[in-house]
Amino acid sequence: MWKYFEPEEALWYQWRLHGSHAYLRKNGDEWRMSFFPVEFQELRPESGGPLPCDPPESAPIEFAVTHGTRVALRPRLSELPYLIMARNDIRILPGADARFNVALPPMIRFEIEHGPSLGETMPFILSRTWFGDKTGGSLCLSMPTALDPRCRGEKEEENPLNTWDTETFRSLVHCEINVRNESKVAVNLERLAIFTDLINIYERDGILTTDLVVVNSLADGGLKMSVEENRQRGGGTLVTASRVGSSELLVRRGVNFLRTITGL
Amino acid sequence: MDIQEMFAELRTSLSSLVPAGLSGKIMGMAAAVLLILLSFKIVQVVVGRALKGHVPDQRGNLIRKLIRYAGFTFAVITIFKQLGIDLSALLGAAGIAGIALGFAAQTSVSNVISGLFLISEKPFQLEDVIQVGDITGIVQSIDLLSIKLQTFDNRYVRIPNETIIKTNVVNITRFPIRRLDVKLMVDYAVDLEFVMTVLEDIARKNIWVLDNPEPLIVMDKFESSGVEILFGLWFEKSNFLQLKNSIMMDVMKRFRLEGINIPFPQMDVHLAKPTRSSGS
Repeated sequence: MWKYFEPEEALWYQWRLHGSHAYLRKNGDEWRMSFFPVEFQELRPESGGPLPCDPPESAPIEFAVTHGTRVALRPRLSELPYLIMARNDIRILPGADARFNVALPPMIRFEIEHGPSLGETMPFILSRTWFGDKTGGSLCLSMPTALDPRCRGEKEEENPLNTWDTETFRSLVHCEINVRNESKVAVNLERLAIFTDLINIYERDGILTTDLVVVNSLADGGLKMSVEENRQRGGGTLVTASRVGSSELLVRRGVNFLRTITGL
Repeated sequence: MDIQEMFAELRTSLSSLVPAGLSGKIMGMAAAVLLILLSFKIVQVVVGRALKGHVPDQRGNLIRKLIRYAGFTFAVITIFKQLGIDLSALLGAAGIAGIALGFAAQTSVSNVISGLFLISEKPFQLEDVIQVGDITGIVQSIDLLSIKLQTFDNRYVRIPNETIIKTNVVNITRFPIRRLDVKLMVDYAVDLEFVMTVLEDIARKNIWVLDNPEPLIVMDKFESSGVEILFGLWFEKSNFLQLKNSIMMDVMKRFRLEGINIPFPQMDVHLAKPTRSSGS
């Protein structure tokens, strides 16, 4: 689904992304694209492509002109952080840690092999939310799903629309988060913002995964957010994070804003 | 031709016009003034570069201007000294002239002082959207005498600093998020709890409305035609127009769909039937 292929001339191709669709047609150096976004709440357990199809009806079409033969639909995490609420207040006691699985909707873009991006969009409609106080903070994508801690040995509810199901929702980026409490006071986790600056995306058997995101609640009352890179778990690296200078920024932002969010 | 030859030629031409001693004096004075102005220009550039990114743009501009004016002042003093003019006498005369000028330039001086206050207080910065009286626009420059705004209908407005200090200034874009307050009126026959649920849903479905801070819904007051509701929606400051247009349409469509009536002021006129006696 995410691999480069050589499209036939003047033929439309379609990708299905859980209800959202992306279309592409090549004609010499001219590329036509079309995207149909859907509400994230209306996810359907279907994904696949590229498949030859009829031209998209009454859809806005984008044009790009560049030389290239092989193209792919590639996922990438949004530059806006993802904010997700906890279903119930989660209390992490000193020295303990909690693990969470989150399925993040990626941005998608058509990329020419060893070449530029032709066009990009968010295939799912998500509302925005604010992470911080009214005088400063970050604009985030609001995830309509809820955060539940992953308990060892406990089976998750058998819900066909459970977005954590990696097999069903292959077009979402499955991210594992570990919140550790290294401080001497309990941490109440109400919501969590995931900053994407450091996160790589891997593909294994068509499933998109990321590095392990670690949020440490430190003894000095601060919070530190980092990623534990783990290439072997994901197979091929699909998207490499832009790391230049972002690590410190990420930690600082984490300290400033996560502290208020988690109620420390 | 090298510089030495050029100076020699200039000296020759000057000496033919003015006495020999004076031409040397003029040459020395010109070189000194040139050197002073050049030095101050270098200082201005170096300081400007050093300040870039560390202090706000308008403060950097002001410091650069002060350095330039200091250069000019120093150059003028040098010229006077070279010409043998006694500055103390001149300053004394300037003191008397200053009183006269002070009365004449009262407004300008007031603007300059107000400008200094504005720069130190920083109620707004370049590119902020501010409202002064009934003028709203983007701040283009903050100078010693006035600020300049570009209004949204593309007019260029100069507002004296003294006016800014004396009036209320609203900085619309100071904070990253804002609240749009929409006032709605619903019929007395409508279930208000149902209206509240509908409004929450409208806010949730509009992509420009932020989920956090949560929308504010206040049953404001009982009016003659219906109940007034305050519908406050938080948004990222750059999305004002998108939200304003979309939310009005969302409310209209949804209220129509749900059968919620938006009342308008109306008057029922009851005509009394004419009686037989009055008709005859």
